[in-house]
Amino acid sequence: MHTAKIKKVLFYLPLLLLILSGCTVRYVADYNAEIKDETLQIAKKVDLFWGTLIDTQKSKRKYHDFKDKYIEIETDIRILNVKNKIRAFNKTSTKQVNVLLELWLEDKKSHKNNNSFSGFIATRHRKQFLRLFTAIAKGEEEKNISSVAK
Amino acid sequence: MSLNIDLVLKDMGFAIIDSVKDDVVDIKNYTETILKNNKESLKELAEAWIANEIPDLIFDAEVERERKVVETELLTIKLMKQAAAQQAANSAINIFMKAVKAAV
Repeated sequence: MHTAKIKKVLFYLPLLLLILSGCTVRYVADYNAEIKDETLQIAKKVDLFWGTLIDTQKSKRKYHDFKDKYIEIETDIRILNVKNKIRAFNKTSTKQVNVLLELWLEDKKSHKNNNSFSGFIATRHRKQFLRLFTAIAKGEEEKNISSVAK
Repeated sequence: MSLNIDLVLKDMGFAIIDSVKDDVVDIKNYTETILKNNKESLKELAEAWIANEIPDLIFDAEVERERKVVETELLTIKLMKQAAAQQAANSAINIFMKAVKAAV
């Protein structure tokens, strides 16, 4: 009987210490509406980029004509990455934006090397980027939900 | 006032269950969306490869790329679980705090 009571106390001790220290549990970063909006803005730019490229005749999809947009979007993603990186408890979202940047740079390099872009691949990558941006924005939105007490 | 720890613990348990029940559905739905997207993407790729529309090198690169996309989508599931756990734990702590304060 006595042992059972001790076990119960030991089981709830960490919780009690947490409460007495005035802390709350934290696994994810605070929600940031600005970052979520920025993510969606970049998503729009990227989708417009692919839409324009796909709508351009294949023989005219020269790297030079898309270079400025590649660089502009690359910078947008890099800044988004920095903004995510400097937030506490935000490693998972930062990892996601790292992949986004990696895939964007892959496309830029491939387009530059081939000086052309396949319509089939462009259509695939357009869909993949939308999936990535959805995942990142949804992840940010989850932080908002977790901060609301039910 | 006295503190009825058994009752408080029971309430904390209810708070945790109540807190995570919607999250479980959301996580299930989003996981299904990820799997559906992945299936469609790989199907499209396989069909193009079988029809010789894309070379082996492109096929391999696209499979690897799709793996990265799915991994990144699954990181959102990780975030959803962490956020749900955070909310559940804090809801339980709030119940405990209210009970302790009321007992003082």
